[in-house]
Amino acid sequence: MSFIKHPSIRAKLILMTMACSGVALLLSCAGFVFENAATGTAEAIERLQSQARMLAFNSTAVLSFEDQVAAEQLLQSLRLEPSIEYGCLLNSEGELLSEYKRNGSERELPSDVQFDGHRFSDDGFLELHIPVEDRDEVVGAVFLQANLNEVQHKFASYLRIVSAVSVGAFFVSLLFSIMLQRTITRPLVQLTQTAQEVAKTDDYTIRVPAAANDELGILCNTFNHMLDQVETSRNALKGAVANMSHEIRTPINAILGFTQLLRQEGASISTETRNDYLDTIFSSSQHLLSLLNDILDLSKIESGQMEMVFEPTSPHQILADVVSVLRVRAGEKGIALNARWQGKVPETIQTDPDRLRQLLMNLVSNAVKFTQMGGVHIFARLETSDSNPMLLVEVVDSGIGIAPDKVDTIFSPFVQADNSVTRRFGGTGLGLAISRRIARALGGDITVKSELGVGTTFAVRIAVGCMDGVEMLDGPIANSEVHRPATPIALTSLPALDILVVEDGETNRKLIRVILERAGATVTMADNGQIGVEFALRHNFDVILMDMQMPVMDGYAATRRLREHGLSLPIIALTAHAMKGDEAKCLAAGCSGYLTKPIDTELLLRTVRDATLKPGRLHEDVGMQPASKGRPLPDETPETDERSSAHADPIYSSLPCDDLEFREIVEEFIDRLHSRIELMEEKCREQDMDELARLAHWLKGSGGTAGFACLTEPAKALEDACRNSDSRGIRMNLNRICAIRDQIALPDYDANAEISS
Amino acid sequence: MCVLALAWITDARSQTAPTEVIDVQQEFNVKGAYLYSFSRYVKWPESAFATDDNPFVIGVFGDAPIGAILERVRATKKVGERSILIHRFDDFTQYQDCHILFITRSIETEVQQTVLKQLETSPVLLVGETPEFSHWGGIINFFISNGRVRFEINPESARQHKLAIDAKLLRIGHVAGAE
Repeated sequence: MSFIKHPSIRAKLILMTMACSGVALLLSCAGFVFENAATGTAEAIERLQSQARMLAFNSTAVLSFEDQVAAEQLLQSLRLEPSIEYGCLLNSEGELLSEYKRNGSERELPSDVQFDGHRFSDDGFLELHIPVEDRDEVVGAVFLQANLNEVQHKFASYLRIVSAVSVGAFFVSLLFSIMLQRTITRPLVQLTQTAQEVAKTDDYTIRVPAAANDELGILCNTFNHMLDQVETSRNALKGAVANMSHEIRTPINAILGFTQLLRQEGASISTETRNDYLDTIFSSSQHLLSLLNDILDLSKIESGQMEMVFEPTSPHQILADVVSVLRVRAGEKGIALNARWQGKVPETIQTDPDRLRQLLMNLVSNAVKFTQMGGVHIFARLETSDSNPMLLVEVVDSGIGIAPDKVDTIFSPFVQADNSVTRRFGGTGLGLAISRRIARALGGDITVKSELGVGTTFAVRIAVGCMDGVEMLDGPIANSEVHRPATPIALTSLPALDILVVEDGETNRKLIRVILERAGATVTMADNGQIGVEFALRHNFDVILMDMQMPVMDGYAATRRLREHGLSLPIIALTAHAMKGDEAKCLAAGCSGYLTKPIDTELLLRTVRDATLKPGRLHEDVGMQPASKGRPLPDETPETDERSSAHADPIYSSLPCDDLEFREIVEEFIDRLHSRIELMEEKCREQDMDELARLAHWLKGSGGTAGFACLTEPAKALEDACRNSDSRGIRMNLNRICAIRDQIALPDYDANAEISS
Repeated sequence: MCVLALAWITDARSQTAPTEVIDVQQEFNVKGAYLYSFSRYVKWPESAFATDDNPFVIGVFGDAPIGAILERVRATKKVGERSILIHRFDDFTQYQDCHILFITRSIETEVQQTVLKQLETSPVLLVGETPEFSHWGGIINFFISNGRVRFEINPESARQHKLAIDAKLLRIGHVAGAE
């Protein structure tokens, strides 16, 4: 029966209660019955004993004088006790004086009658033997035999009553438990039925009726709440899908439309118009690309596919990166953009650098986007309140602000502060949603405060992980001030490099070739890995750009083949994948670098240039201009006292530092210089001549490239000293290099610039 | 009153006659024991004893093979805290104060009557074994019935002698009391 195999909750509850009350009743029943049985017998014995004693008392004279008649008379009193079937008086010799037998009784005086007190005969009779004493002399004895009928009868009836009462109580309890279990099972059954129905019909509008205030009530309410959320998210999804399709269609329509126009009107339109059309097509494609990227990102985060790789990350580096990228845009709009670290900054924190960069980039670029006047100020510090230290970055803008009723919704996908925002400011509407999810995945959150027409502050908090053994620094600031509108920035130019591009996509090939040739390099093309390998083995290229996905032989195999042949030139991978594992794969195959498609021109050029920074291969003429004056940059790392302090005249790069592009190159070099010099010191201490020579070699080449020609000679001397194991020479040149480093400075844009440490 | 008191009737008594005797010695052994036993069921007035140390005197007037049993009684028993004294005599001039006086059947009727008369108000338990003994003023009288030694009690006489007889004894004594 299914009842037995799968008892319902109702049945279980009832069975449980009944088991409890059953056991209780049984035990108390047993207790009472046993007690009654014990006392019943004891009482019977006591009664009989008292009768015997009374008889004994009265029969002293009878026994003294052995008066049979009197004895008989006396014994007649036993008739009054129905259970006594036999009684007799024995004289002092134990001889029978007189006996009494109840009507019809067959009892006899037993032979072994000389015992003390009471005993039970074999056939279940109670026997009593009481000595009769007159003062201190035993004159005889009383012997009685009684049946236990009465006792048993009473016990039986007691048992009957107790059983009846217990059974009655049991049934009453059953009735009660059936009634009371309803309070638990009814809501539970309702919940079960509702859940089953929802699952079956996929109808998420059904709700469970509210129940009592106990855990079941909470369960029902939570269930309803979950259904609410499902409904909400379904609706949101519907809305989002509608939005998304609209968002995607818009740029595609533009692309199609303008392309069509170009084909149709072709020759008859002016160059200006054509360029306009092309600009639109280009920007629409970019917008579409970023939209797709964002959608992918969001869906990855939502479905938990986005891996966060936590590693020691330099927060100020990331912030500096973000600011340096957006500086251009801010400059174009004539608004300020600066970042300031307040208090001590950890040298590294445990977080995902790429995601953090993405997050900060998003917020800061939003701030820049929505600000027309004033500026964007970023304040960053380590919050050490309670036991949980968090990195706090506040992005404060003086932009258009957000209406108070919209503040909560801006983190929802595709919601922008109002419908006109997309028209006026562009963007995908996904940025904040992604940012918030990233922030949460990094162990924190984003909050916003805003006032319409005044500005907005976004506060990002992220977890910093284990801070044991992490040094605290006084952070430098990445700083961008209001400055005059910049002139169009030239693309990075490359030295005359021999570049091999191995790429099977024709469009991509064309694009890359144009970019590289415009920048001044010589480009050779190969259609697939096989051809690429052949070319590379035949001719000494400076750098190879290798597409990883190709027919015949793919990039991984080609790279491996080249490395096997001993080629050590830089091979930069080009891949359409953007996952963490991918980078590792490329590096494992032997690539020196990694670019994702679609190719970012600037990034491409910079990567190529960085990869090929080799002494002797670079030409010094990279369009330098004399530098302007300024104040020295503070040191990032503490130094020992042996170094001379920077009080002499500052040394500036020969590159144009008010050209943001070049300024960046210089800044990067200066950073690298500092860390490389540290490394040099370390290698010097370790007496690692080879490594030190290598570092000196690098410096020899790159110093000049970055516009610090004064470094070239000491670096060369250092390298020579290393090869000659000339420790004095090493020390002297290292000191010279350090001295120069101390004097190196970066000029400011403006005399009123702020520099603090 | 005396007449009333003498109206004791029992079945056993009417049946019996002092004829059936199993064994004389046995008879007097029993009687001797009974004499002692009586002390348990009779209460003497305080005047019967001068001090708490005074012995309990059992007197025997006349012949009877009762010496041995009485000697045993005297040696082994006590009456309450008192020791027992046995006083035997043949001549009433030798009478000393007793608590129990057993007048045997060997004494002539007139002497018995005289003695009884003399001791009319003394606190002495007068025990006899002669029919009519109770008529004459005796208190307890032995008789034989069915081979057994029985006795009859005259409660009125006991009262005259200022002796209180326990109800248990009365029950056995087969006396239909006057009250």
